[in-house]
Amino acid sequence: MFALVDCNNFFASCELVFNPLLDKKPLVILSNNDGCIIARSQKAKQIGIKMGDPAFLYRDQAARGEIGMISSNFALYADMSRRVMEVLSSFSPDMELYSIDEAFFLLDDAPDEILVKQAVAMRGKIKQWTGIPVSIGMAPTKTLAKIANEMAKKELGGVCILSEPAAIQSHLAKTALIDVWGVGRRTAEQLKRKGIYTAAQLTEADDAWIRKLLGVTGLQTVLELRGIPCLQILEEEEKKKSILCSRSFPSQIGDLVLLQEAVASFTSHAAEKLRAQKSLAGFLSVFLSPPLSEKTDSYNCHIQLPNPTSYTPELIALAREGIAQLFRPGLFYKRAGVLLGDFSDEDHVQNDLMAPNDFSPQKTEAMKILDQINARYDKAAIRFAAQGKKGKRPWQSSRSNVSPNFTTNWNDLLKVK
Amino acid sequence: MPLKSRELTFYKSNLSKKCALPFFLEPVRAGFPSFADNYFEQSLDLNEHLIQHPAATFFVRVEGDSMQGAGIQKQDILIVDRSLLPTNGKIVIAIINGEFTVKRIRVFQEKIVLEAENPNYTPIQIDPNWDFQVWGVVTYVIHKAV
Repeated sequence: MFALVDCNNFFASCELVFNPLLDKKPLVILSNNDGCIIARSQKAKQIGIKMGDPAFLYRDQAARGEIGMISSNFALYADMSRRVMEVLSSFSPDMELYSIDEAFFLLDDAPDEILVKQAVAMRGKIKQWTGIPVSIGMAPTKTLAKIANEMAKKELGGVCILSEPAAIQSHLAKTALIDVWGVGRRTAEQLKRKGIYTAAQLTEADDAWIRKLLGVTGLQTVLELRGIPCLQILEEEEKKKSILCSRSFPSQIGDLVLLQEAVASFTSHAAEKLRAQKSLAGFLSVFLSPPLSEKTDSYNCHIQLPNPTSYTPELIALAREGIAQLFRPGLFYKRAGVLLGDFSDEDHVQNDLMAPNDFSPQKTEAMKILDQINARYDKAAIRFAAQGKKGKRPWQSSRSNVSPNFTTNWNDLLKVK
Repeated sequence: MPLKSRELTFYKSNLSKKCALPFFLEPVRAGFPSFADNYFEQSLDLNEHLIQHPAATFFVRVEGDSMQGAGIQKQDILIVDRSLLPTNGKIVIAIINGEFTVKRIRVFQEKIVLEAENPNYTPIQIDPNWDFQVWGVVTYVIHKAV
């Protein structure tokens, strides 16, 4: 039996743990630069606020105090996610972290009542330990567990099991194609043209026909809906194969110095992640996106490194050079980013014999100390001059109303009287 | 001749607990041994001592003086474990109508009272109509002494 555990209104729920007063009104969380709505509390969903709605639609209501509107605080959400997943890991050893707020489990077979009892206990434990409400859906396949989870969220007090074939079929008859995991908008349209409107109809389709129409993954979805497991629990995520750090700017930037500052900061951030997973990068790529009205693609500069490295100053120097090459005076850019890739293991380096090798243990040591200091004090306790002056820079995303980092910064702890 | 079959019992090794063994960096010297080697101990980790349930443990900062008598001063950091039950007599972080407070909880048959430990504050009896919840149980107080 598979289970999908999904946190309810995760970002909003994280905020409510530390500020329950926010729950008096509908609450929405805004994207980077406060552009659009990326999460809603239950009350916000009830009054019909949609995911992805632009923030300005609700600014007046927020100003009148009718709804709460806050910027996103990913440091807080990541820490709360870590806690939820840690508690969940006692549910079953076969666990797959699917996203920041969802995890799949493979549960030992047992009678439904026992599984439900376990799930109810797990749900209670997570709520008590972390303050985050979750829903748990259980079914013979991952795709069905996803559907069971939706049902758990809607009507069934947070836990739902779909195991009887008859019950599964009757629920699939009420499930729209677009709500099936793995069926996108386009596939749904395609199927509608062939007269298939519900998940139940999809289970009755001919295998060969589906395979021809939607490929192997489409057939997998159909088999999974019939209760035949095709998708397994994916083992712990391996080391990342590339690291991307990119941001859109609060307003467009046409100044090379500022763009270089921005990219130096993104590079420093990416290099820190690179060292955390004990990898060295083989290439670095930087990009700049002009506004859509310019009708040009974003400009991309790929730089192969002579020797794999995770040494920030080296990477920053190359990133700055790349940006200088891409930059066209007179153009204004809305987004920039850095991608590190072609990783090798810190302990097994394959150097280019012909390239000058200025590897030194001092560099490794310096980065280790840098990371330690920044982890202990403040993310930006030690920074590179190339990142620009301290304080708010014009390229940094604007978050007008962000909650404190209650769980990751000593200066931001929750205050009690 | 066939091997005589024997009954073998296999035990699965338990890898769930880490058992770090001391690694001596000192070269072995001939002559008089260092007595210190015999007293090799792991260094102490405060987290291990103070935090039983890391996933459920939060730190909060004290702003008021209502719990002075319990040794909780302004600016102290409290270690709060949400996994523990707020049984009678525990010091808890509670939320009353949206406001966070630290108090000692008294649970009677029909009522719940939050007591301060400072004569300037009167006990708060929880009205069933209030929005009230216990957020976590205080397990340690961190007070800066210098």
